[in-house]
Amino acid sequence: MQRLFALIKSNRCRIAALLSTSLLGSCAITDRQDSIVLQVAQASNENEQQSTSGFQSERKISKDFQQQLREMQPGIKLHPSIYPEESLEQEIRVRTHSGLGPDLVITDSNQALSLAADGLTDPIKLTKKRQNLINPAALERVKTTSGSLAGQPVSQFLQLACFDKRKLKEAPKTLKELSAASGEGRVFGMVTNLQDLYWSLGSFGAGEALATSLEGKKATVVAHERLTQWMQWLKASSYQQNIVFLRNQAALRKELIEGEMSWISCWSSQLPQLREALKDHLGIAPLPSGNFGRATPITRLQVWSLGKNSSKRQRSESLKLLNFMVQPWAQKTYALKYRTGYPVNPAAALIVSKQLPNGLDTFSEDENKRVSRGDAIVAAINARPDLGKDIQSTLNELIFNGLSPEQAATELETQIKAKR
Amino acid sequence: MTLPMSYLITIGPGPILNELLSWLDYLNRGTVLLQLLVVGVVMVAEQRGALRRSVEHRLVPEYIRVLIGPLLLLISSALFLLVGLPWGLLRYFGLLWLGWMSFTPLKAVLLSIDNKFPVDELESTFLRPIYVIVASMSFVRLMGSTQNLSQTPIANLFGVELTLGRIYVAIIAIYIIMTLSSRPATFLAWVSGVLFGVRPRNRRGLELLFRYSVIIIGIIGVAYFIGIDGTAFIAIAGGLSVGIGFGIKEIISNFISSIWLLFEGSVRPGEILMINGDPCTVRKLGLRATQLRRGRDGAELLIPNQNFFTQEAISFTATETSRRDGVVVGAAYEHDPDIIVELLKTIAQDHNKVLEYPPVNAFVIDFADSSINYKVLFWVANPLDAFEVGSDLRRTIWKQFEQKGITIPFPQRQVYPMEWPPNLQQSLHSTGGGGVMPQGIEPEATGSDEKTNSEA
Repeated sequence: MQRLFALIKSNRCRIAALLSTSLLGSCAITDRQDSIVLQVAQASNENEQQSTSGFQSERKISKDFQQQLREMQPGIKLHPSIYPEESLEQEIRVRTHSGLGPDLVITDSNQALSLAADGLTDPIKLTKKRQNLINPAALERVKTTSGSLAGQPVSQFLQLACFDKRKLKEAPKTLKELSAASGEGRVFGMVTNLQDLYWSLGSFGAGEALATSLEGKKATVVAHERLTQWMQWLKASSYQQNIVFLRNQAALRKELIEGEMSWISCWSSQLPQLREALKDHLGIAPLPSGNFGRATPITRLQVWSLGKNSSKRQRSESLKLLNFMVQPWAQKTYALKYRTGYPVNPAAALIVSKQLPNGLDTFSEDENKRVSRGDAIVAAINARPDLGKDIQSTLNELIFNGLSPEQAATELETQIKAKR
Repeated sequence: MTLPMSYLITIGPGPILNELLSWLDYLNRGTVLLQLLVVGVVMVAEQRGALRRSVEHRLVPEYIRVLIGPLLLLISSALFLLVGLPWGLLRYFGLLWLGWMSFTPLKAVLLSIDNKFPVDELESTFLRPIYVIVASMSFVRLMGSTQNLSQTPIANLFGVELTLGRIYVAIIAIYIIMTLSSRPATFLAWVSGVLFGVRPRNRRGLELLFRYSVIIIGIIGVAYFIGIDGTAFIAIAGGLSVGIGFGIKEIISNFISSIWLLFEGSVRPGEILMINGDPCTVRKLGLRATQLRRGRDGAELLIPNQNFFTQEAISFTATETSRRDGVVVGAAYEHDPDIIVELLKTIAQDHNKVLEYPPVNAFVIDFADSSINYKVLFWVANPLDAFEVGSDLRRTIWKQFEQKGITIPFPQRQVYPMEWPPNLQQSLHSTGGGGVMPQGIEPEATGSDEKTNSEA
């Protein structure tokens, strides 16, 4: 007995640590019988390199969503961690290698494919019934080379025009109107990177030249000519006093909120911040079309993927949640509540399209097909950071320096072709 | 100005607890538990000495043997990787442990290069704090909580929402300011010394002033960084005015006293003050108390600054550093006082630490019961030398008196054993009746009642 006491006395620190760990562990297990915590890693939708706000608005939405979800799925508690898009992959890699990877990863289609290719997420198997709940074009965008699905599309974010109703009664419908309106003392803002400018390529039919280059072929003379025209428009816009090109979306939003700008190109995912600041004065409209055709804004598909390290129960609950998220009720409710994305469920899309803000409502299934080209180009740029840098430097040379539109068009084609 | 308490400070630790509890959910995963089990087994084996004992006979030095545990973890992480299991936690704990244990060999290497290198100071003020910061941040990152924790608001101070991230950064910044502020302060004091000819003794006070300035500016900067603005400072000042009136009066009083004393220059590092009759050197003038070193026994005294501000203090270095001290000695009545006085003067003048000017002097100070008392007064350059010089002079006086046959009278005591019960003769003796006692001789009774009883 005395030896036992001596043993306890000499090991009291260890025994205390063991007891507290087992106590906390048992707490977690007891708690789990009622509900389970799912670790979620989420890429920021703010679409900018450095977020000074610490993803405040996204955290707010995420918190609200957790509460909403708890009412409908009381057995599931979400524990989200938000990362900048560019560092998400590295963070997930570190956590997954340690066995502490997330149960769910929320990101866009391009990154979901890249994570699946790197073996950081598990492919998802959807039953025929579940596949019917999702827009086929959206499913196509998350298909890996082996034919499996990198994740499940849940929503899609669109590129739009955001304007201040106090300064602009109506958003310009065409690029011509945009030029005319900017001449009247109103400032229009755009971002200099290709992803954010891609919408204007459709207005000139210039996307074809880039798509052909991406395939490693030489663009036709007509396609090259259209690309040059787009470059000319870009150059001409940069000469206009009231069209301003900034580095990122955050800077544009700030200018619109502070009243320095009247109109900016924006993403539907960023609308909450603008709504909060501008209230009823915020106007939303489709991006302006050109002589050739309608604008081709890129959509960001919100995809939910499965992490590698989940336990059996965590995995089954994750799948249950994924199923819930594409049901018409959830699709309709969350699309209308947050008004930031368009449902991927066609039935829900039909119901909500009339209630969504202007710009979001004109989005239809056809849009998915139209944006697939832009998506391929953006995916190619994301996959190769060098290509992104080269394209950025060409556009900067064109907009801010003396590079001619003809030279810029040729250079862009060569860069995309060379870095295939 | 009155403010509701909720404006001053509200604390909500709930979100942080939730975040920390969410980590426990990882324990549901078998691969996480397996890695933690391996870490636990290796750590217990290391603590019980099993790992070190196994290589004891191979002449491996102790600072290499402490690395066995972490290396075992790293090897097991490589094995996990080979069999396709998650291995990052093992590697993380292995590296963390290896880093901590590497301080010992690192210190040995640094000391072998330069044995005067302040390696302990570097370790405790710089290396270990940085290590703890990096380790805690990487752990939180591994758990996927960096953003969540750094953005979690835990307190509201003067209407400013304080997130955990900001508080963490503020603590680190204040630590760095406190630790490193002495370097620019020393530099500024040195520059002032060179440019304006400030004396080296005054430079230390100046350095302290600069240091406080750097700390105050740094803390205000950190406060602005975490979002506490001018309004909040006014609120703090309001709160302080009440606080000074009641609770923190003493602290503020000591702090203000320290600033005042620095400006006044009366209590500067290097000064020699008399504290309760003992000369003490001022070592450090702190925010609350002054640190002194007592010359007599080397004891470190910490005396609140306001004591110097409100009470008298004896300084030997305020305007000049020399100190006057004296030695008292008695000589028998039979010697000529002039000879004694001259002798004492000569003895003092011959000591090499006794100043020539002001000159040495000796006086007859008392016709005492058994001797004439003399006092020799002398000056020394360094007040701390006075005690030692006094001792030297007493030794020399004794030797010189011995040589010259000068006696130093002192009372003597004679002891007589007593009988019990005392006989008549003894009783008369002890009461002094009829007996003649030499001067200075007193009878003393020994023995006790107990002894007597036992004999009886």
